[in-house]
Amino acid sequence: MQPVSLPFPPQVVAAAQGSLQEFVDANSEVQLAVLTSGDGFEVAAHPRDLPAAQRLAAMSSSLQALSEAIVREAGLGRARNLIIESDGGTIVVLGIAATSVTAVTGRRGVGQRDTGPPPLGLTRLRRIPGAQLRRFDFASKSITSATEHKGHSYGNGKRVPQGSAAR
Amino acid sequence: MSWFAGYHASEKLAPWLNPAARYRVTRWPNFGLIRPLPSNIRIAAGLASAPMRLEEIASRARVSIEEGTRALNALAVAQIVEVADADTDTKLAVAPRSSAPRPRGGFCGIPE
Amino acid sequence: MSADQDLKIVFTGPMGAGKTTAIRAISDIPPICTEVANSDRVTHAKDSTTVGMDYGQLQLSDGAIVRLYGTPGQARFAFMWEILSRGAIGVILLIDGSTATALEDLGSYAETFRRIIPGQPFVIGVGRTAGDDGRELDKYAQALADREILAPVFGVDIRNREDVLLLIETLLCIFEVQVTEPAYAAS
Repeated sequence: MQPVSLPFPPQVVAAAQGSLQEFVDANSEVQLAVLTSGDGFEVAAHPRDLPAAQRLAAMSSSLQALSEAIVREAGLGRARNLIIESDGGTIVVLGIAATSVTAVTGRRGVGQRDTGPPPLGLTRLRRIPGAQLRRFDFASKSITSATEHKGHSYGNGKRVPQGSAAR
Repeated sequence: MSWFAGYHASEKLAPWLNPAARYRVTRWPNFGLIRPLPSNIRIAAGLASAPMRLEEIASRARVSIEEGTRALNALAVAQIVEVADADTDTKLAVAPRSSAPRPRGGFCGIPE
Repeated sequence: MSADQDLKIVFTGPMGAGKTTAIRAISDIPPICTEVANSDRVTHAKDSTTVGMDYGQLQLSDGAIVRLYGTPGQARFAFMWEILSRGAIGVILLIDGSTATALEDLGSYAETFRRIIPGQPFVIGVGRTAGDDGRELDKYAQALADREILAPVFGVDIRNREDVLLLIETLLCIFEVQVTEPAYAAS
C-alpha cells in the first residue's frame, strides 16, 4: 500500500518492488520487509499491502541514520547493518547506499519453549543467487550502478513456523 | 522601546499600580528585541506562572524590590500586565516532580 | 556540576525551521546529526533533512551541562518526538515565519508537545520575520492565547548564537521559577 504522495517515479517503485521480492524469496525466514529511502519514505514492501509499511519505513530510516552517527563517532568507517534481537524475532536493517531494507523474521510459535542453547534468532540471509542488488539513488530518482550484496550467515538458522504472523 | 522607558523611568511604583494587588502578565514581553537581564526574565516567568504581589515577585525571582518595581512599571507601560481577580488566586506553581531535578540557584546564567 | 541535575531541552518545529542549525550554533561539542538527503523536494526545497535526532551540549556558568535534543520535523517521524521528549524540562519550538503555514504549524506543534510533556515550559522562536516584528509576533502570541498557552514568543535568527542562548536562558528561567518549592500560598 503506497501513499498517493510518494515522491518516486513508478518505474523506480516497480524495480524496487522486484528487487525486494527477490530478496524475500531468497530468505524464507523473512516475514516482512520494507525498502526505504534514506529519509524514511516507503518505496516497496512485502507483503505489498503491509499496513505498517509507512511507519516501519520512517522508523528504519531513523535507526539507520543513528547507526551511521554512532559508527562515525566510534571512528569505525562505514555503517553496514543493524540487528535487533527481540523475544519474538529479529529485525535487521540493511544499509544499502542511501536506502535501507528492513527485514523482520517471524516469531516462534506460541507455547514453544527454549530448551536448547538460547537461540539468537538471527536469520540466515542468503546471497541473492547471481543477482545484483541495485543501488537506488532516491535523491536523484534514478537507478544507478549495481553492487553485489554479500549474504551473511548467523546463528543456527532455526526455522520459524510458517504463517506465524510477525507483529 | 517602551520597555526601557518604563523600566528606567523611576524606581518607585507607578501611581496606577498597587503593591498589595496580585498581578500577572497577559503576554510575554518581546525579549527578542531587547537584551534582557536574566533577572527580568525571571520576573516575567514568575508573573506568567501565577499571580503575585510585588513582594512575592521580588522574592520568587530573587531580585530587589526596586528591580521588581522597575520591571512591573515596564510591563504596565507595555500594557501586558493585569490585576488578577481575588477569586482566581491559586497556590503558586506545582510541586516539583519526582523526576525533575531541583535547580540550584543561579543556573540562569549562560556563559558568554 | 552535579550528576543529578539532568537538564534536557528539546528543540522542535517543522522542517526547515532551523533546529539543527540552532543546536549547531550553540553546542560546546560538535553536534551529533542525522541528516540525510531529502527525497521530496516538492514539499520542501531543502537538500537535507533530519531523520533521527540532533544532539548537542551547552555548559552553564555554574558548570551544569544542558543536553540539547533536536527532533526531526516531519510528521512521519512523530514517534521520535515522544522518545526524545522523555525527561525534558522544556521545549523550544522554532517556527519559520516566512512560510505560509507558520501560524498553523505553531498551533499544531504547541498542542502536540503540550500533550507529550504536559506542564513543562515552552519558548517559541520565530525566524525570518520582517525587521520590525512586533506586530507580526502578536499574531503568534494570540494564536497561543487562543489555546490558553502563555509562552514567550521571540523573533530570532537561529544562526546567531546570542539569539539561541536567549531562548535557552528563558526556558531555564521559567523552569527554575516554576519548579522552585512554592513559598507562598494564596491568602
